[in-house]
Amino acid sequence: MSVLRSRSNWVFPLILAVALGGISFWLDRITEVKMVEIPLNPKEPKYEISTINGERFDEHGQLSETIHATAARQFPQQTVIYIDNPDMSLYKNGTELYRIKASTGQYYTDSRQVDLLGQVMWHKKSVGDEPEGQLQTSVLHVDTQTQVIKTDAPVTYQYGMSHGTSQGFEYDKQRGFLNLPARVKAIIYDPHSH
Amino acid sequence: LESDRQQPIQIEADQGSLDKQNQTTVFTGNVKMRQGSMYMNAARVTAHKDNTGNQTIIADGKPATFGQQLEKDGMVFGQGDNVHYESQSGIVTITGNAQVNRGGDMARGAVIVYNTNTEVYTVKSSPKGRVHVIIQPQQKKK
Repeated sequence: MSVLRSRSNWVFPLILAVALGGISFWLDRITEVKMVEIPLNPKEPKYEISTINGERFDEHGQLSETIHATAARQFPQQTVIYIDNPDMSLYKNGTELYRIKASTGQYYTDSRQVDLLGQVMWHKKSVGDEPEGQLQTSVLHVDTQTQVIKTDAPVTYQYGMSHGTSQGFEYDKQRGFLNLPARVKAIIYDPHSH
Repeated sequence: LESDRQQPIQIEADQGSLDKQNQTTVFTGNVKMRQGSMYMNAARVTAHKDNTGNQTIIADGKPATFGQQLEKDGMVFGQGDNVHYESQSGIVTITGNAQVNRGGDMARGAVIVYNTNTEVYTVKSSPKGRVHVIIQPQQKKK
């Protein structure tokens, strides 16, 4: 039997942790708008922000996070913030590392969870000899507290030349544990033999 | 085939998981693995990599089966309840209802140890069992 060379990168390491804390920091900023509570029409947003462009810099003055969205709104007596076309990037030493986009996002200020809905695309730039990676699905639930991301929807992923699909996906960043719960298909290229 | 190692590994399974800290990957449920001419079918496949990059692959099944095209000609097929492969030594250890077929030759026993580098295999029986080996006569050169 020939050597089944299956290096750690053959199985998608799924660096989709998206620096989850970063999201909550930014989305928390949005919620810090001080309001005087007066009975409002529950069908009308108590506030709406359009064209969001945010940048955050590290202690060295280098770009560390950006968030763009076409709009965000929150309705009275609700803890969820609706975000249109969220597009968030995380940087390292001023260079973009991860980017995550979706058609809509819902951020729950109480549980600090984020639901990304519609054409969810996560992209990881190549770093050193670690290849580029990408994951696409229709729904992605991000728990910024436990740093777990999961979906039950079909997922396609690429990592370097390797690629595959599965039904559902769960990644626990703290445990470094990835689970593909059903219908797993993968074609794995050993970067050293190609 | 030597060229198998250059080929991508194709995997299909009902479920898969990767434990990054332990560098262990587990596939369960009708697992099918292909790499060039080499194939493996099993109920469960566990792959572990140590810090030096050496890999251990363990396949369990009723039976787990594998096969590969040989450099010269013909194929080698193996099956058993448990197939254990160490990339560092190139040794495959088949345990439980172990059987290897190569060309017309066949070996069956409790445990078969197959060296993928030398293509030599050793057959062991269980304490009360026996070893069965069939070796086809060499074709006379006309």
